[in-house]
Amino acid sequence: MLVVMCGVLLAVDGWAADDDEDTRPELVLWHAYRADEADVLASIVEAINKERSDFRVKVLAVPYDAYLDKITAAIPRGRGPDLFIAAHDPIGDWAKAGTIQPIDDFIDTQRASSLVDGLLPAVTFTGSVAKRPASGDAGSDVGSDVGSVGDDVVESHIYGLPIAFKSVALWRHLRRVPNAPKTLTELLEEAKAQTVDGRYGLVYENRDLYFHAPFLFGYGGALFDDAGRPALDSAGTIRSVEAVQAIAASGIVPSEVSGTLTISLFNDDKAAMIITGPWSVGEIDGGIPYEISPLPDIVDDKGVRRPMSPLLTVEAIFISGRTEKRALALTLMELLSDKPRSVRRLLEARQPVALRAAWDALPPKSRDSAFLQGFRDQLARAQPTPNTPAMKSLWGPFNLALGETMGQGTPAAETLGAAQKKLDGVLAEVERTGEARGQTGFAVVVAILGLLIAGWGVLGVRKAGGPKALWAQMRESGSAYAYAAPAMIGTGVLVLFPFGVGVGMGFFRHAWGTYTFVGVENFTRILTGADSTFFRTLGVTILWTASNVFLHVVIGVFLALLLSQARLRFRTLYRVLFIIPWAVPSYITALIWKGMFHPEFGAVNALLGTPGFSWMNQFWSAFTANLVTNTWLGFPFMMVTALGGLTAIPTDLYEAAALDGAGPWKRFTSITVPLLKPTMAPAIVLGTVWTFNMFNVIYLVSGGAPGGRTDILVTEAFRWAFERGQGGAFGMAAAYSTLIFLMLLAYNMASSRVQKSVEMDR
Amino acid sequence: MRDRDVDLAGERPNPLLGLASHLVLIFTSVVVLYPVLWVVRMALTPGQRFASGLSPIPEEVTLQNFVDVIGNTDIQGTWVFGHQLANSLIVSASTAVVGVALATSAAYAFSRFRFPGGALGLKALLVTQMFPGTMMMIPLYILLDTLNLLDRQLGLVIVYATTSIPFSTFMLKGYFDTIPHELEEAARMDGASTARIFFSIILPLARPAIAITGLFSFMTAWNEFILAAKLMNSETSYTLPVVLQGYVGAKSTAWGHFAAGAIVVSTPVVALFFALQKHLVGGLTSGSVKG
Repeated sequence: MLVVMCGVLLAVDGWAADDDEDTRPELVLWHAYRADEADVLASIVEAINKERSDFRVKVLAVPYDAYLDKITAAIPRGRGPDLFIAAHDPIGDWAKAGTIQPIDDFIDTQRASSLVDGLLPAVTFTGSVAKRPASGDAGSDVGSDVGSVGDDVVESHIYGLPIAFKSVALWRHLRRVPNAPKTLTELLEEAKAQTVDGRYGLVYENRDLYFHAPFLFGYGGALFDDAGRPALDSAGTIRSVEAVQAIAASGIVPSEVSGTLTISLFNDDKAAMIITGPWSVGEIDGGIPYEISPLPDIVDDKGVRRPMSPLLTVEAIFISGRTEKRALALTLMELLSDKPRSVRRLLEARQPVALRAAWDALPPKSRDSAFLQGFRDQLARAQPTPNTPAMKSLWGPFNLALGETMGQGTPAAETLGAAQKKLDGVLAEVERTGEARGQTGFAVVVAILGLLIAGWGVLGVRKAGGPKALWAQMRESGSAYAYAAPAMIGTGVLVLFPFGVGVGMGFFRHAWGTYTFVGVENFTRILTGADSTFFRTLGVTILWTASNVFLHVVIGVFLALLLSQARLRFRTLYRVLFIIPWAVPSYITALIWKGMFHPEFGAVNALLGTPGFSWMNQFWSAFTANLVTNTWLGFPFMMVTALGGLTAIPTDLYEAAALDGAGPWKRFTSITVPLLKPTMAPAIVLGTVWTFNMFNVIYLVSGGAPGGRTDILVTEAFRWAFERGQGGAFGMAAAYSTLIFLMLLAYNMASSRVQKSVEMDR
Repeated sequence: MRDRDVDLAGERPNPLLGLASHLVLIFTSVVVLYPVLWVVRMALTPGQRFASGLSPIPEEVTLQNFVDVIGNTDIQGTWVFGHQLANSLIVSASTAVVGVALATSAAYAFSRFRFPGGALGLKALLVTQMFPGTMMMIPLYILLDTLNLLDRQLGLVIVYATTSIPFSTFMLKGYFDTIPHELEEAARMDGASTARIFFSIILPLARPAIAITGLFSFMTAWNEFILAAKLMNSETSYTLPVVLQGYVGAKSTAWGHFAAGAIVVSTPVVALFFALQKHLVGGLTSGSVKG
């Protein structure tokens, strides 16, 4: 059977490879569009492929969540696309890492003036970028840049061709709010009047900077000061957070709003106005009459009037820094953004396109035209999301501060001050030039690790009675090695190399594709840094692991015992039902659980009779929400394992014990428990390791709320790797991972020791 | 196969115990099913919105989301869903077969032989599970690129199989340890080779454990999307979980399609478990050897 499977696998392996005889050079285009936007793009490219004789295009739609990561991994290895379409905000990181290349030559004055106003600043990056060859072997292989910091030069370039723009705007339910408010005061009056019968006047994600930005700019706040340094605690910003806190307190905005809840409430006519972007149109029911209008102005206490400017996202085509087909790529870029194709994207995909001339094609008075024009009007008042690497580090601290003020009522000045401090810490890490310890330091670390391994090996040999005795034993065990080898070699190759590299990365600092050796600095920073939350997070992680494993095992074994009663009816049905939580992809069920814990609309509060109780506002309740979700997801695995283990227990043992007069509890403790142990032990040990590193549930259910306090070590490592700028603080993330590894190793050594001593006692 | 004629509690089942069991099991079923019914509701409701409210019963019912998901074809008319389903089945089945085969053999070595490096090898397998996956991604990508395994099902199978081997080996070793040595000794007296003992005595007796590890290995591959999305470079070589992930956009999600897809993806797993669960019914060991 194995042979047959391998045969089938080899036969179909790579069956999707192009084997047609098309000799035209191929351009690869990646994007993360879906639904209409993806379909229209595919159809446009199909037409181009039919038309052109000089090249053909292969399009790949990548899931959004995997997109940026995939680009970062593939392009430096020369495995990426020639062009890709993406939102503009990571271009600072990309320019620094050489992922994309400038196209100033392509964007001449004429092309620049053909675009709607305000888009080009978004795709222009000014900053120091690493000097790299346009193509060549300057990959980001770990260790290839040991000791070098790179020659940085400050430059300003245009990196992408804008093809569309997106921002949030005000959506009004026309029967509720027929006229667009001119000021925030008017908007709030309308909202207040509409907050009746379980309906809310205004719904938006008021704990997310992206949606808070219009308030921030409207109150004269800013994200960066005049010198370009992030400034979260300016007077205007504090004022804006205080204002939205007051709005939330007046009850016209529901608490803990997510994007899906915004849309749900609007669809159910339970939200008179919402703030969201054009991407939501696919989820809105056709029957809801609505209109898009720009967000109004804010007149502050001093009578100064400012527009509520949303953050602008510009979607642009970028050329890979590693492509060898730049000229062809530019041709394709031109085609994709020309007038007929822009018109198609505008009309068929309802995409607010960048080419000004395309907008003339909008039919007057259609519903779609009004929809698109609403966002075009909003554009005039929007501000491009800053594309500097520092911006990426700013979201996390700001959102934590918003959440804390909205959730716990902590004064805005306090939470924003803390956020600024936290951000300064992160940026200090990002900007730390990383005193290069050079080759010697690297050699010392390698030597120490080598000595440790060698010493351990020598001990092992001595334990076996010297090298000769060991060799003799090994030669006798030929068949044992033969049985174990395939699995060990496979696992060894695929795990040891990545593991070694992963541990090694902990001694480096990573910034935009360049690794600098920094010795144990990452570790000392984590373990002794003043702002480090390591030990607190470790405590949460241990509590999380222990409580989960305990519940999974107790519930799993208990259900398995119930289900192995011979005379129980429907037991097959129950068994199959109970593995469903394991079978359904956890992404969707975790989000459903999150929805069930919503204070106002969730089933949990309805059931417990605690309406309005906010699960995510306190550590213990947020932790409980995570725990309940993960227990629901995790018990089936333990149940199935226990079911398997119970079959190995001969029933005669129970009969004999019953005859000897042992009661049910006695039989459970003296027969079931010890005989189930060999099967459950590996599941428990591995379950512990997995739960310790369980990322999804924490990330999806509590998201670390409140204020990062339910984060565990692995989510913290993730945040360093992907949410704190620098093109990925992989060094810090790797150091975290290594510490996680060491702790699990210690736990395992301790537990096997305990187990051994227990077994000896028996 | 003989079912147990006594409970694990060891007594003739009394009606009260049966009733209590059913009450507990029905309660658990409700808790298990309630969130899942939401997925069903979203899948059956027209449109792409997230379900809200307290009742998981859909108000309007349509199969359109299922039709969209299953009938997904690309612009050239290729039935993309068919390719993706086939990819998923091939990759997961291969992972299960390769993973369980290698793990069974390794577990046998660890359970029945004492050899230098044995204890160490078993520990090493456990240790592989301890380093967070996120940090393994970058080096793994480089490794697979070097081995020319990017964008190939074979690459996925190799990674998934090696991911599932540690658990499978541990599980099987634990189970093998409970199989009495007397059987093998008797067979050895009769002149059976190690291989023969392995195939005709150990394997049949270990059926419950093999079923569990098979299910586990299959699911390791079946539900994985992070690596698959990163490694595969054309829509016809994606696996189904990648397609599911594709229904989630930057700020919006096609919930109807996602939910329908989630149901489509979970059905084979439930079916597989249904097929395997008869092996989880005891009696084999107790029938063949007196503990």
